[in-house]
Amino acid sequence: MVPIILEKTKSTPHVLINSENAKLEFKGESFPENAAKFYAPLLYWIREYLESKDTKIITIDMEMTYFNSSTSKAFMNMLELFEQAAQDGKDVVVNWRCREDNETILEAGEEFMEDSPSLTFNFITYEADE
Amino acid sequence: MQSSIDMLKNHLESLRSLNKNELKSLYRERRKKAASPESKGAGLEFIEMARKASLPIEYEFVPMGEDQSFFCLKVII
Repeated sequence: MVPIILEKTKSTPHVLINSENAKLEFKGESFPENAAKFYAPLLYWIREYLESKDTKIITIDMEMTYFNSSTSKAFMNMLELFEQAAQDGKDVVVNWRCREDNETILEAGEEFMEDSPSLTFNFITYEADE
Repeated sequence: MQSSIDMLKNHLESLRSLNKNELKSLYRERRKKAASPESKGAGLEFIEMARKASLPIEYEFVPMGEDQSFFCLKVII
């Protein structure tokens, strides 16, 4: 499948979805006018990918600095697809990266972890001036 | 018009009655549900504000003529 590469904009994150190495990357901020619309094609791609490709290990790198609540819902929908895939035998790893002082993002990651029991979450925090 | 005010009032009143843990549960439960088709957002924004607030949220609707109201929301972080 053709990889998806989206440059970040003022209100949407950098997105990289590569089926070759089964890696996804979301980096930046997300508060688009219509988050459901922005994320729908990505969710569609992921659904197709999970059905077609026999990948064992999938890595999702999340390095968000801010996202709004409708983005949170889109992320939840995405993680639910991976949760299902993990229950079907795939290994899905979520690397949740954020600044150590970004409590909001850290807590959001922990809540995604609580709602996605079959995914492996790694929390990676870095210092503010890194 | 009146009905959309009532809907918002009911929503805000129910949020005012919930504690932090209940708000968290509601947020997570709603996040998993499909959004209502007429809404652009996820329907989570007021729940999120109530979660972040250190005191119950306060609101007021000030009637502005026959078919409009001015909506005030007070959230203390």
